[in-house]
Parts: sequence; structure tokens; C-alpha cells
Amino acid sequence: MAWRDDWRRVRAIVWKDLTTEGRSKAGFNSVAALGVTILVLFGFALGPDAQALRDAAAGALWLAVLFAGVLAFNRSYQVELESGALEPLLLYPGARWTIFAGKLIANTIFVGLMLVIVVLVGIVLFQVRVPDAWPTLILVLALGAIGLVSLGTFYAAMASRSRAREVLLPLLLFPMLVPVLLAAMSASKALLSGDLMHEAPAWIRMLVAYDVIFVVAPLLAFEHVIEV
Amino acid sequence: MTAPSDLSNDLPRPGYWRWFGIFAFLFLIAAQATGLITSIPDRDMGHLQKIMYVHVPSAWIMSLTFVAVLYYSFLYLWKQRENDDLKAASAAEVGAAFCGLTLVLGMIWGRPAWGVWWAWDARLTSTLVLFLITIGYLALRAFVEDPHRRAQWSAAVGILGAINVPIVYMSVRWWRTLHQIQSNPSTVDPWYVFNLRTNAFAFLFIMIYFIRQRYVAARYERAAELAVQAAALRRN
Amino acid sequence: MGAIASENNWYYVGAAFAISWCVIIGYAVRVYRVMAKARKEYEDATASRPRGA
Repeated sequence: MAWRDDWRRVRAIVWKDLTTEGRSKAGFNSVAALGVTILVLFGFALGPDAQALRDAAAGALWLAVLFAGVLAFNRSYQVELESGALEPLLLYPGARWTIFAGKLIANTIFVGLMLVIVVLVGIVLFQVRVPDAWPTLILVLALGAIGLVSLGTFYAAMASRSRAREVLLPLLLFPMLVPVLLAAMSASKALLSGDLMHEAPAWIRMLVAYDVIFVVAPLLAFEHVIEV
Repeated sequence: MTAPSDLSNDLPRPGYWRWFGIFAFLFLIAAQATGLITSIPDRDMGHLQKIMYVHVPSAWIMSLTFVAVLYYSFLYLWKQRENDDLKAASAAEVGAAFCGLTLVLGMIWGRPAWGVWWAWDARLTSTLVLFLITIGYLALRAFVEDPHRRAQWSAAVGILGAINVPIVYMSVRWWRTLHQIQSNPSTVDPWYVFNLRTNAFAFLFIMIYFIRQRYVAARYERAAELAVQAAALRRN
Repeated sequence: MGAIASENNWYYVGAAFAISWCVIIGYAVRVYRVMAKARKEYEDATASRPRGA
């Protein structure tokens, strides 16, 4: 019975976050536009040679998603902070992890949509040849996104409520994301070039392990961080 | 003038620690001198091998501090004792110092060994990432004023950072070895293991002493903070 | 001597040990300074207590 209540709370948070973002369409549109802009800048940095761009596509894509996503993470707490809605939210009875789970799901949807847009633009800009193993590539994109969003949502719970939030979130988050970025970039790169060395399965296993650890750990730690 | 001793019953006393500190420094001098004098030039690297006597212990101590941060962070979340938070923070600061040292020593070894100051070697790169994670932890503490909030947040960030340590090592190593063979320094020096162990213990004693001293300093900082607040309240 | 061994290596070894000592002594000094500053603040704050409190 408690599980149904918890799940209802999670759904409520997801619905709340998505509708607030939906009402201010500017939110998602600008973050997606930023992702594309960053991709373009990477194109300038790494191109214009077509082969160089193809080699760098995986790395550029993930960094564009990361940099644009960082803004989304802080924003996901902004609404509550600006309207003072965080205290009333905490007054509601119920486990705190449901708040984190709700925001995690909402942010995953948000970042996932942005990821799709950035990937499609990236395929065109970086002249990427879509590989036969594209379903596996989609799996890598999903797993990588979950890893980014989970820690991003968790650290933003703190950074958004401190001074210097713009620098604190990346400073805390980026080094922690090194394993998921390495795994996602390497797996993507391998799959895009045919994975001759069969690296991708090992990286995907690491992605799964990372996602499990860094979804469960923040879930457990969230109440210590949001209450105070 | 009121003696400061009435509240300082709470503050840790130096006691035997002063002797321990003197012992630790003397032991370090002895261990390093022995290492420099007794070890023979390596077949491949000549005297460069001696850098291992500071580089390897520094790396081991760095890892130990991460374990300490993990332990005290958990302890703080469980028991909610402020002193545990201060111990974790002290361990993190000492860890940052030794992490930075390990990095610099690794680069100093790498320049003659590989010909470049930096080579995206697996262990060196991992150490750099861990250094950045530690800096993030210290930055968080610097940016949060409220002590309770700072302690809670640091504990969470410290635990997550510490459990990431092996994952960072593994992922960076895969990233490197999938494309290149890693080379390990090998040596024929019979004194090598002995000297490495003594230097490792020497660094361990220094680490313990430093964490303890930093913790005492943190307690004084906290006592000063509270005393300043109390004085301000009395004035009003 | 081997491929990378040379007399110049002594410079690197020397630099390594020197930097190690700089970091160790430097950190000891930093902790001492933090403690001295905190102690001074603490004594200033408690010294301003009214007598007989």
C-alpha cells in the first residue's frame, strides 16, 4: 500500500515539473537551442575536415548534451525556490526519495528530448553515417543520459540553493561524471565506426553498473540533502 | 582578562600528539635518507627509480584519505556528531594536498621516462580527476555558510565522491588500455621493497598527524565561530 | 645504463624530493596558521565577556 502512495507522489512530481516546463515553452526550447549551438561551436573547433568531424562526433555530442543539460538541472529546482514552494513540498508527508525520483524522471524526459534533437542535428552537421548497430547506440544514449541526469539532479538540489550556483554545479558534477562520459563517448564512438574491436558491450556493462550505483546512492542520500 | 580555558574543556588537547608529530617527521627524514642512500641505480631508469619512494607512498596516502572521508561522512550522517564532519573535512583537505603532490611527482617522473610532462596515462589521469572531485568537495564547504547544512551536504558529496574512486580508476584504465599497453616500472633493486614500505609508513604517520592537526584547527575554528556568535548575542 | 637513465635524472629526483618536502612543510604551516587565527578569534571573543559571567 505504501508503494502505491509513493508511486503516486512520484507521478505527481513528474507531472508538476513537466507542466511547469510545458507552460513556459521557452525553457525547453532555449536549452535545446543551446545544445545545438554548442554542437555548432564544436564543429568550428574540430572541423571542417569531414573525417575529423566524424571521429569527434561522439565526444562533441555528449559534451553538448552535458553543457546544455547543466542548465536544465538547476532550473528544475528554480521554480520551487523562486516561489518558495520547497518548504510546503517538504511539509507533505511521505518519503523524500519520491521527490528525487519524480525530478529524476522529469529531467530524464527533458534531457532525453534534448538529446534526440542534438543527435539528429549532429548526424547532419558532423556527417555521421548511421551504423547498422543503431539500436545499441540508442541504448548507449539512454544509459548515458540516465547517468548524467541522476547525478545532475542530485547535485543541483544543493547547488541551486547555495551561493555561486552557476559554478558550483559544474564544479561538483563534471569530475564525478568522468566514468559515464568516458563509457558513453567510447561506446558511441565504437558503434559509429563499426565496433571492430567489440568494445561496446564492456562499456555498456559499465554504464549499467554506474547507473545502478548512481541512481540508488542519490536516492538514499536525498533526504539528508533536501531537508536541511 | 578571562582565561579562555572555561570553554576549552571542549577543545582537544595536544597531549601525546606533539611527540607523535616529532616522531613522524624524524621517521620521514630517516626513511627518505635511507632510501636515497641504499638503493642502487635501476637498470633502465637509473636514479629515477628513487622518485617511487615519494610518489607511491603519496598515492597510497591519498587513497587512504578518501577512505577516511567515506568513513567519517557515513558516521556523520548516522550519528549526527559535528566532530565527525570536521574529521571528514580535515581528511579531505589533507587528501587534496597529497593528491596534488602525487600528480606533480607523477609528472616529474613522466618527463624523463616518457619524454613529455603529460601523457594521459591511466593512473595520472585518474589522479587528476580525483583531485578535481576533492576540490569540488572543498569548494562546496567554502560556499555553504550554515554549519548543519554544510555538514549534511558535505557528507553526501563525500560519500558519492569516495564511492566513485574505484569507478574512475576502472573507466580511465579501460579507456587507455583498449588502445595501448601500460608500462610499469620494474626494478632489480633488492632494497626497493623495504625502502618503499618504510617510506609508506612514514607518509602514513605524517598523514595521521596532519589530519589530527587539521581537525584540532577545525575545532578551534568552530569554537571561535560559536564564541563570536555568543559575544554578539550578549552585546545586543 | 639503460635507455632513459642519465645523470640528469638526479635533477628530477632532487626536484621530486624537494617538492615533497615543500608540500609537507607548506601544509604544516597552513594548519598552524589556521589554528593560530582561530585561537586568536576565540580568545578575542571570550575576552570580551563581562567579568563575573
